[in-house]
Amino acid sequence: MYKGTFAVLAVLGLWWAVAWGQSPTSTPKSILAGPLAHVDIKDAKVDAVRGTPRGTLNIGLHFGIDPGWFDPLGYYGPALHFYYLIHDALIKPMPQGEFTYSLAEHVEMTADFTKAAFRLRAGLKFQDGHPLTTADVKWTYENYRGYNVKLFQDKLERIEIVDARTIVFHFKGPFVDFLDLYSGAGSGIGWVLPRHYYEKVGKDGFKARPLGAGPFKFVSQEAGVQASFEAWDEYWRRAPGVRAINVRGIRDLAARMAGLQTGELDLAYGMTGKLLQKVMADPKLRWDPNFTAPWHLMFPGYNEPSSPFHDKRVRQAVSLAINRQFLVRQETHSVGKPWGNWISHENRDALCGDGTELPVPLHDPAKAKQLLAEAGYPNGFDFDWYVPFVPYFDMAERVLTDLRAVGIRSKVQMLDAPAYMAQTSKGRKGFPGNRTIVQRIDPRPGGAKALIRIYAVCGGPASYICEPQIEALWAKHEASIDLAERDRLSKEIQRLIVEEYYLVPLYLNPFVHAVTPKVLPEGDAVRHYWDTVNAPFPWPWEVWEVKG
Amino acid sequence: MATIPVGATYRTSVSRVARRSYRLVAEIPAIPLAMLAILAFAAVSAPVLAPHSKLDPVKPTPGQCQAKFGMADCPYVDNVPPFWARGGTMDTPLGTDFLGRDVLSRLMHGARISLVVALTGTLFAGAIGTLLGVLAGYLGKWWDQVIMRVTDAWLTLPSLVFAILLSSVRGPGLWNVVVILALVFWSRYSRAVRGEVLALRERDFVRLAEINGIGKLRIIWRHLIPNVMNTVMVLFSLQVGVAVIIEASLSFLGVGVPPPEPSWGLMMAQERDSLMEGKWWLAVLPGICITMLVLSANMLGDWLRVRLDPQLRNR
Repeated sequence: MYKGTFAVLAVLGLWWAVAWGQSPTSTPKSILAGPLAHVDIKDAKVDAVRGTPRGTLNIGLHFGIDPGWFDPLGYYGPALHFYYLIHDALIKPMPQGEFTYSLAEHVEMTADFTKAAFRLRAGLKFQDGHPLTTADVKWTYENYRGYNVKLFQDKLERIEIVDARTIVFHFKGPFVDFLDLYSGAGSGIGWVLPRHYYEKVGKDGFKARPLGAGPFKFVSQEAGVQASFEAWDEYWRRAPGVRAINVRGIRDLAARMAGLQTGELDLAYGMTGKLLQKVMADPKLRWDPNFTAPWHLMFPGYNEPSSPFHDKRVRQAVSLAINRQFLVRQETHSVGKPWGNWISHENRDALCGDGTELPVPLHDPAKAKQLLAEAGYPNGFDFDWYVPFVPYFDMAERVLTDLRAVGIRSKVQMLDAPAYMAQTSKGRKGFPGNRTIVQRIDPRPGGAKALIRIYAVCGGPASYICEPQIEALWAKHEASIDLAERDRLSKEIQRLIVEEYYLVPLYLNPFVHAVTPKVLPEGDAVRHYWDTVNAPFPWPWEVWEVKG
Repeated sequence: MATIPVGATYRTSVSRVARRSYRLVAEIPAIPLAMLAILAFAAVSAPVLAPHSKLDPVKPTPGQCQAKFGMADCPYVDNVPPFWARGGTMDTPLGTDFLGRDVLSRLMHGARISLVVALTGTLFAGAIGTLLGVLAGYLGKWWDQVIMRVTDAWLTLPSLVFAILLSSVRGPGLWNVVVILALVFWSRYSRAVRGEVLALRERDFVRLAEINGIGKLRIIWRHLIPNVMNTVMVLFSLQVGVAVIIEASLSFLGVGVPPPEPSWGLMMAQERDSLMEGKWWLAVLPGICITMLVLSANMLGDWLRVRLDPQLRNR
């Protein structure tokens, strides 16, 4: 409920409320001259009284841990889980709103979107006591190499450091999406890193022993298996509620369940599938459905004529073959919802896939067979691999069973999370050949356009789609600073992608997390941990509390 | 009335019978052969005798759909218990898995995969290892040095870890597992065969063949390889069991035979979660099959070892 409210606030706030020549933001002392866009960024909740951290929170992640996820400069994959622990951003999604002040206390953007300015809070420092200044912000921007790096570099004219707390980004032209992309959840570039430390230890040294300005200090890691963190009492916003957090990568659902039952884990993710009913029935466990994003299928290399998926009828047959209603029942005990869009409903400018704006795809195996026959596959065909998101291998087999019923046959490629993330983030190069289906999900904030930019346009970091019609619409979108027009274009692209079956949505995923009685507060109030919009994981971590 | 003979005579008679029985059992490994025969029969006849498809769900009756989901029609009914449990049916005697597939049919087809992978992989390993062992033992000099140093290095690698490494390089797949097994196990053969050939090459029949001007390749083919086959056969039978375990382990870890093919290791892995739900048979039945196959292969190998070694045989 809260998430929806915040999403609406963000819609109203950031883009729709942008007005030419409106008065500057509430901070009395303005940084930029001229007319400013009205940016709606929520104030951070700073605790007046600093509490004392106590207890340990043990988290069971549903896949192995990649040490690369500790370094925001190389951002990809589910790294935000760790950024919110170790690092801090200028602005980032928080329960207060999709855009919430964090290291920055004031942000301005000119009405023509060619300059953005940030003022940092006073007295900020990294966990080693070194002051955090605008020089670190500049260095982080200039050394970023993750998602959208080319866009950030191409758009930038120069970075002006006004003083140790004030920084101005000058762009070559309007950069309307800057705050969306620079916000902590949009990429790794907004998470400020300690230049002095990074340059001293190097990239690999930083991955091995990261340091940041976040609420928890890195303690140790066993690569791929476990990472430990301890509270940093001097975090600017508040002292963390728990003394230590241990994150363990446990791919096996039964092992996570056993961890919850024995008390070795206090919070476990991905409790869907075979054991969801057991989680629901266990009086000791509390769970949150945490609807994040829709599952969808992608076809790497579909636009090559030799690919069977080149033919729209084949992609449509794939969609028609899948019995979403039954899939949802079996995988989520009907908690999930069959869905008609591949973008989360919590994203601004996303078309809702529940039938109101985009129809829920039909299940019609007879028509699927007919379409396959028309496309030249009367007996169906074999494709190389079905690559599911980790560790949803049972779900992959369910989808494959549906596909096999209409004659589309394949086998499941079981990758571990770091390998899956690395391959999908390479875009077309990640999956050689053109007879593969990739099952994907991405609960990324930043509006639908953030996902379109990554997954649906030529050269997008993880895109397999390169269609002239979409490119034309996207070029218009990028050139426009008319927010209403941008919104319309974004929706047009979404509709096109779904109607042409470039991506095939499955269902809105309940990414069920379960907690034990050790986690405070007691009762259903525990759900406030899931209030951050579009958050796959229940951050921020500093608010978590457990029994001591 | 006849009297019972004195104890000594009775003991002698009993011990003779027991000895004979023991010899009979020892000479004909009936239990492992029977187990292997059952599994081989299941594997060979799976396409004909398996009651249902190995990949597709069993079509449920309206009654089953109604009972399970409250619907008149459904694509499948998952986790039907085996016939001895409440709710079980003889149509699916060992029940169905999480996708409504017949467990018995999948076990039968799983036997095919396990046997094909283990036998073929071990066969390739044996062929490579025997050839290299013979070359190293007979040709000597740098052949021996190079082959044996590589063999020694290979033998130091832990087989499962090495297999996982190779699997991550080659990717999952049935024939990839065969190649991996061959690459992992050839060194066992080359080490044993080389030792045997070192002794054989000093024997008169080899010397005489050389004096008669017979070529080295012909000597290897006609005289050496037939004489090391006993050792190779014993090793082969013992390695099959290990290969089954490796294949099952790779599939269990997700780097072996990819789903939806019914490998026993994979079936165990997929049903781990079911153990927590009390559906133990889904994970235990493939485990029993693996145990049966490995045990019978090892017992047969042990019997072969005794039978083909004159010293042990006459003891």
